[in-house]
Amino acid sequence: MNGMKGVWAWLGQRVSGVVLVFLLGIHLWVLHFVDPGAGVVFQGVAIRLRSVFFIVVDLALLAFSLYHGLNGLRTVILDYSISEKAARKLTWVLTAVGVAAFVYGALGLMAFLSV
Amino acid sequence: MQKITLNVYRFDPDLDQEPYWKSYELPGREGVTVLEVLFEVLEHHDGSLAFRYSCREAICGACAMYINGSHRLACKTQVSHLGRVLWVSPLPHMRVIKDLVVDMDPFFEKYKLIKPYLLSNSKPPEKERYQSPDERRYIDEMISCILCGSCYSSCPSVWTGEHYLGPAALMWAYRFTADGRDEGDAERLNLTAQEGGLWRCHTIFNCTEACPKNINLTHSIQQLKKKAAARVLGGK
Repeated sequence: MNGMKGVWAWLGQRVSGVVLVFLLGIHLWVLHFVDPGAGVVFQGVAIRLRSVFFIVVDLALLAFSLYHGLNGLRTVILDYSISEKAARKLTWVLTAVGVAAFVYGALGLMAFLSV
Repeated sequence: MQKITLNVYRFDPDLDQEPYWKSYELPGREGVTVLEVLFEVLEHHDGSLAFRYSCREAICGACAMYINGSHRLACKTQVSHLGRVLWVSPLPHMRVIKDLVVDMDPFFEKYKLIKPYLLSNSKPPEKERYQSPDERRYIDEMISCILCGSCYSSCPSVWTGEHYLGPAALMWAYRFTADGRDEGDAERLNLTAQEGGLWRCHTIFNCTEACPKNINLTHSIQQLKKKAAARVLGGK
């Protein structure tokens, strides 16, 4: 029987880290290098966020960065030898924070689709 | 030869309110080691100085101490390599029993937890459990560990997490999973791949830097993490 714990969280942190390098690459490239003269203005963002491609990239960026950040925070807190019960509660609280932040962010990202 | 100034950490919980440094001016000589300097104090200046030692040739691990800012074995550390002023204190972040003697119980309890011995359900062969020279070479570095506790004392994850297994126990767990004669992979991974085990290692490399036998403990711990990951992903 597999009695190992924490493997998926560790693996997920590595995978999300690698994915974030690519997504942040796209994000930085589009925002700062495609047209270096153009500032980030409301109209530009509105146009970009009507493209399904950018919405998918930004949703993925949101999801992976939330996972990576909150899982990292969980790792830092677990370093202080908290009890198993407290660790379980912590995981639930951080998951709830992550899901709430994702829903809030996703609504913002998709606001221009119906315009 | 020029004189040596030894500053040594002193603390007797029965007598002292808090630890203090005591200085001794001692005669130097060619080839003298830190352990011999401590003996000089014990035999000629202060018989109450407490420190551990046994083999005097860097194979028992008893005399690991914090010497001039690094984890070192007192018996193999030449004073001439450090200059004429020595600062000797017990292994940091461990409970001091007296002077340079620390409580090693938590370290050895965690070491015992990973079952540091051959686990095998198969019937012993008539002649021997064969190990090829290549397989032996692979574990060469790891089995030079003398359980001195330097890695354990240097690890920030040990400092903050009292239940963390620590570098030595994890390195020994990998040493056995990397041994073709051993069949305890699943058992040891279940013991070590826990929140208080493998995942508290953040590849800080303090253990590798502190090891007086130059063992790359961080590498072994990473290999064990890879084995745990391979297992959940359906590998062996």
